[in-house]
Amino acid sequence: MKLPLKEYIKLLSKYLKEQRLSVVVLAFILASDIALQLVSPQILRYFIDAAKEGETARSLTIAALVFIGAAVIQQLLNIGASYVSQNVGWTATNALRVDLIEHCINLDMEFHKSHQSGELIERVDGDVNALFNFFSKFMLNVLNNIVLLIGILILLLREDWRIGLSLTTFAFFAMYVIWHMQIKNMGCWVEYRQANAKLFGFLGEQVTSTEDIRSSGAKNHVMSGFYKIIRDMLPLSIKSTLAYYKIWTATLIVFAIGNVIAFGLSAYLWGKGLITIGTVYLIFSYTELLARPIEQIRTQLQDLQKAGASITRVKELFNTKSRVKEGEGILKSKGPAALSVREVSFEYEEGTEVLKNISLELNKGKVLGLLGHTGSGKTTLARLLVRLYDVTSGEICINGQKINSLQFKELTKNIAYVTQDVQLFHATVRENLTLFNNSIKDEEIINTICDIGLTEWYRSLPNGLDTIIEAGGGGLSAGEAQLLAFVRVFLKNPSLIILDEATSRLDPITEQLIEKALDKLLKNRTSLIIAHRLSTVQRADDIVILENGRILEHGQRKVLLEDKQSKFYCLMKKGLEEVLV
Amino acid sequence: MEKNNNMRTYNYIWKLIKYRPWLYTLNCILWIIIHVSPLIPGLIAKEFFDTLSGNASLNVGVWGLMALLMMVTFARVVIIFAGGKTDAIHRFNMSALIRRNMLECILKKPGANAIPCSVGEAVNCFRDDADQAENSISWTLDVIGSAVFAIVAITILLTINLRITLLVFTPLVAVVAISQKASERIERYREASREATANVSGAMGETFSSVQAIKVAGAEKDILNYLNKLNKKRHKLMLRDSILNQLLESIYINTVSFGTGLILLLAGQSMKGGSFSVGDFALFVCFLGFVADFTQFFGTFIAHYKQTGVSFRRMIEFLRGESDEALVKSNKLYLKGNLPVETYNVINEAEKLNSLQVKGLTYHYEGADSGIKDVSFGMKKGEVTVITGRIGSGKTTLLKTLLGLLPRASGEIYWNDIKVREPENFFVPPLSAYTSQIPNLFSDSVESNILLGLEKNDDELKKAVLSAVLEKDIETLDKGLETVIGPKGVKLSGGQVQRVAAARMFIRRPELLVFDDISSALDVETEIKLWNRLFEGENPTCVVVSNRRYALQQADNIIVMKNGKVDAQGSLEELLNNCEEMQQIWGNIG
Repeated sequence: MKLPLKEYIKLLSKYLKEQRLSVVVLAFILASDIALQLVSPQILRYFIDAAKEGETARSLTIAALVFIGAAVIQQLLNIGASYVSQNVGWTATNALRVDLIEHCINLDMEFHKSHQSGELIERVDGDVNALFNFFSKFMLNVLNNIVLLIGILILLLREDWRIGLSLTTFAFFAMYVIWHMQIKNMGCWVEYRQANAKLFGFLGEQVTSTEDIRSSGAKNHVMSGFYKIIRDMLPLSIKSTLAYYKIWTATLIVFAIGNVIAFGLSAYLWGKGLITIGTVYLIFSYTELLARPIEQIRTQLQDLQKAGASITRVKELFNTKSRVKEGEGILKSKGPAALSVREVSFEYEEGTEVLKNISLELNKGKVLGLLGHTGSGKTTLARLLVRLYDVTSGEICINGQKINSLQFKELTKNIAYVTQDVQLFHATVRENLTLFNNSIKDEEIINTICDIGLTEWYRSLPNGLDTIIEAGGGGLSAGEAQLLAFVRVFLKNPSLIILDEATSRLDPITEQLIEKALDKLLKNRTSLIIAHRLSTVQRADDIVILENGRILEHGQRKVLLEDKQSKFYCLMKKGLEEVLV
Repeated sequence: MEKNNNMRTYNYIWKLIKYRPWLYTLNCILWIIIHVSPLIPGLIAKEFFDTLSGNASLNVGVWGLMALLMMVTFARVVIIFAGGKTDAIHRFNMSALIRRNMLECILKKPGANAIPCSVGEAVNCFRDDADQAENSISWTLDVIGSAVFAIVAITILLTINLRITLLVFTPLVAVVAISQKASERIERYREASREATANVSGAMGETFSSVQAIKVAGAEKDILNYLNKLNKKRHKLMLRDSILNQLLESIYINTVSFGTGLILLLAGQSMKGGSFSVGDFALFVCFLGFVADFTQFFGTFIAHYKQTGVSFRRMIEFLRGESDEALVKSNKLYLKGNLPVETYNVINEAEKLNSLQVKGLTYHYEGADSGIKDVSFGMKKGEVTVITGRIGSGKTTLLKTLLGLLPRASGEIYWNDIKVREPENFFVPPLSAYTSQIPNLFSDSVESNILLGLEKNDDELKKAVLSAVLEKDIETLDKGLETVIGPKGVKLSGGQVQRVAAARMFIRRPELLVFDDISSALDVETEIKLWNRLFEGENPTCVVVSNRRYALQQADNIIVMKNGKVDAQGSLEELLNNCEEMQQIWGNIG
C-alpha cells in the first residue's frame, strides 16, 4: 500500500500555513495530555506501595486528590484540543472548498457538461469532508501517539530493562500484526461497497421507472431482480462484517499476549524481590495503556488511506485546466456594441461541425432575429458570443476587438445572455436579483422592479427584498422567474443583449408584461433575439435563418418580407410555431 | 387487513424481531456471552495480583493464570466470530425485508406518482432509513448484553466491598441523568448544524447547475462570497455541536478517572489493613471502565431509538394508504433455494377486447388547476383513436388516468361492458400495454429491456424489433441485442429509446396498444414506417396521442382536447369542417 506523503504534506502546509499559531497551541496541549497520561499510573503505584507500607492516611489522601486533579486537567485539555483542532479543520477545509469551487466555476462548459452538479458536490463537499480529519488532527495525532508509545516504553525501560525490551518488541509485533490484518481485509469492504452501490443503483432505476414497470406488467420481474441482487449480496455482507471482527479479535489476542508477557515478567521480578507490588500494577497499567496508541495509529493510517483517494481526486480537479483562456484587453468604446462574426466554425466534438463558416455583421443599436430548427446551431452561436465555448476557427469581434483578447470581466459586464431556463438560488429575492453583488443599492433594485412593471408582485412579497425564494424556484411561476431574469439584465446595464428563446414558455399575460419590459430593455442597445414567436421577431431589423449550422438566409426583415421567394416570407406565412418547434 | 396507522417504534422493532425469531434468539445468546466475557480477564488480573500478594483463591499459580488468560481469549474469539456471523445474517435479513416491502409497496402504487418525493430522496430512504432500522435491531442485542454485563459486574463488586461499590457507582447514575438532560440540546445543535450543512450543499448544487448563468453574469466572486458566508455559518455550528459532544464524552471518561480517584480515597485505609487487596483494586478500576461504557452506550441508545422512529416514519410515507404493518410484514426473501417463478397473466376469450367505454373521467393535479374533467369516449376492436390538442391540453393526463397510472378522481371505465374497478391493476399486459412520451430504460441489455422478464422466443423478439422499426439501429450497436443500454450503458437517442419501449410493448401482444406521442422524437419517415408495419398486421386496437397529420389520417375517431376537456370528437373530415381547435392544430402542423 502506498501513501504518497509528498502530496499530503504539500496540501497540509498550504492550508495550515495561515493557522500556524493554532497548530502550535494544539501541539502544546497534546504534549501536556501525553504527560498526564504517563503520570497517572505513577501516582497509582505510589499509592499502592504507600498503602502497603503503611504510610499516613494524609499522604494517601493527597495522592488520591492529585490523581483526581490530573484526571480533571486531562479532560479540560481534551476539550481544548478538540476545540482548536476542529477550528483548524473547518478553517482549512472551508478554504479548500472555496478554492475548489472557484476553480470549478472557472472551468469551461465542456467540463460542466460532462460533470453533473451532484458529482461535483460529491467532489467538493464529500471529498473535502473526508479530508477534515486529515487537516484537523492527523499529523498531530500520529505524532502524539508515537510520542505516547515511546514514552510508555521508556518509562517501562526505566523500571527494568527486561520489561522494557520485551514490551518494546511486543509493541512492534502488535503493530505489525494489526496493520497486516487491516490490509488483508481491505478488499472485502471494497467489494461490499460495490455490491451496495449496485443495489441502490438498481432501486433508483426502478423507482424512476415505476410507470414503465406497471404498464409493462413487469412487477414480478423487478421483484425477481431484487431477490437476485440481495442473494448475491449476502455472502459479501457476511465476509465484510467478518473482516471487521477479524481485526477486532486479532487485537484481542495480541493484547492478551501483551498481558501474559507483563504478568510473567513482573511475577518473575517480584519473585526476585526486584520490584514492588505497586510497580507490578504500574507495568500492568502501562501494558493496558499501550493498546491505545497502537489502535489510534492504526485508525489514523486507515483514515489517511481513505483520505488518499480524496486527495488524489482533489488534485486531479485542480489540475484540470479550462480550455477557454482569458484575454487581457479592455473594451475601448462604450455605448451599444457592434458585433461582427467572421467565418466562424465550431464543433463540440471533433468531426461534427455544429456551425459552418458563419459570417454576419450587426451594427450598433440594431436588433437581429435568429431563426432555425432545433439543432440548427442558434444557441451554439449565442454561447460562442459570451465565450462559454471558443470558436474552432474564425473570429468574433465586439466593436472591432476580438472577444478572446478581452478580459472575462469586460465581456460579462457588457453582454447579457438570457435563456429559457432561469437559474434561481435558495436565497433572498435581493440576492437572486443581484446575484449576490452587495454593491447594488436596494433603491436601485426596487426602481428597476417597478420600471419593468412588477410593482404589484414586489408589494406581494411578505418580506420585501428579504423574502426567501424556495429551492428550485418553488412558489414562482415560470413567467415570474423570467421577469426576474430581466430585472437582472436591467441592473447590469449591458451594451449587447442576447435573448435565447427567453419568452417561449410564457403565458400570454406574462408575455405582454415582458413585451413592455423589452421595449425599455432593448432601447439604445444592440440585441440578438433567438426567437420563437412572431411578436418577438417583429422587433428585428435584420433576420438570419440558420439550418444545419449554415446561414440559409440573411437580410433586412422588411426586404425579406416583401420578397415572396424568401424563406422568411414562407415562414411567416405558415406560422412560426410549427416550423421552429 | 385492519388499518393500524399508529404503530410505535417498538412495535416495528418487535415485528422485525419476530420475522426471524430463532435467529434472533441465537444472536441474542451469543451477544450476551460476548458482552459478559470481558469480566473474565478482569477477574484473572485480580487473581494475578492476589496470587502475588499471597491470598490467591484459585491456586493455579502465575503460569496457570497466564495459560487461563490465553484460553479464555481464544474462547472469546471463537464466540465473537459465531456472534459476528449470526449478526451479519440477521442484520441483512432485517434491512432486506424492509427494502423488499418498500419496493413492493412502491410498485403497487399508480405508476405516475408512485413516490411522494424525488428519486434521490427515495434512494436515500432505501439506504439510510433501512440501515437505521437494521441497526436498531442489532442495538437491542447490545443493550441486553451490556445490561446483563453491568448487573453481573456490579453484583461481583458488591460482594467484594459493599460500601465502595455504592459510593463509586452512585455518581455514575447522576452523570447519566445529566447527560440525558443534555441530549435534548445535542439534538438541537445537531439539527442546526445539519441544516447548515444542507444549506451549504444545496447552494453548491445550485451554483454548479447555474454555472452558465454565473459565468455569463460575471458573478463568480459574489457567489463565492455567498458560499463562504454559508461555509462560515456551518463552521460555527459544527464546532458548537462537536464541542458539546466532546464535553459530554469527557464527562463519561472523567467518571472513570474520578471513580478511580474515589476508590483511592476510600480504599486507602482498607488497603492498609489488608481487607481491600491490590487485586480488588485492579478489578474495581477495570470494571468501572466497562460499566461507564455501558452507561454511555445506554445514553446513545436512547438517541438512536429516537432517530429510528424518525426513519420508520419516513419509510411509512412510501406506503401511502397501506397499513403501517406492510413495512415490516413477514415475506419471503428467497436468499436460498429457487427464485419465485415469474408468472404472467394469460387471457381467456371473454376478456379479449370488443369494446372500451370511458365515462366522465376526471383527474386533478394536487395544488393546481390543471388536470382533465369529465372525459367520455368509446372505441371498438380494431379501431384507432387519436387524442390531439395543444401543449398542456390534458392529452397525456387522459391516457395516464385511463391506465390507472394516475388515480382518477371520478369516472367509469367499461371493458366489454364490464366495469373496470381497479384500472391500475387491470390495464397491464396482455390486456393493454403503453409507451410513454419519455420512456425509461433499465441498465441492461436491449433484449432484457424488451423482454422485461418474458420468456425468450427468438421469433417473437425479431417480430417485435421489426414492428418497432428498430432492426437497423440494433445492427449499428456493438453487440446487437446484447448491448447494455440505459443509464449505465450505451446512450440511445430519444427516438431509439421510444422504439425500444415500443418493441417492449409489441412483444407483449396486448389487446390494446397505447402510445403517448411516439412521434415526438421520430423523423417523419421512421414514424410512417412504424405505423405502416403496425397496421399491416392484425388490425390492432390503438389509442394514440399525436398531433401529426399522418397519425390523424389513420384515425377512426379523433378526440380533440382543450383545457382538460373534450372540445370535440369525430372523424378527421367532420372535425376539420366544424371544429375550430382542430383546424388550428391541422393548420399549424406539417
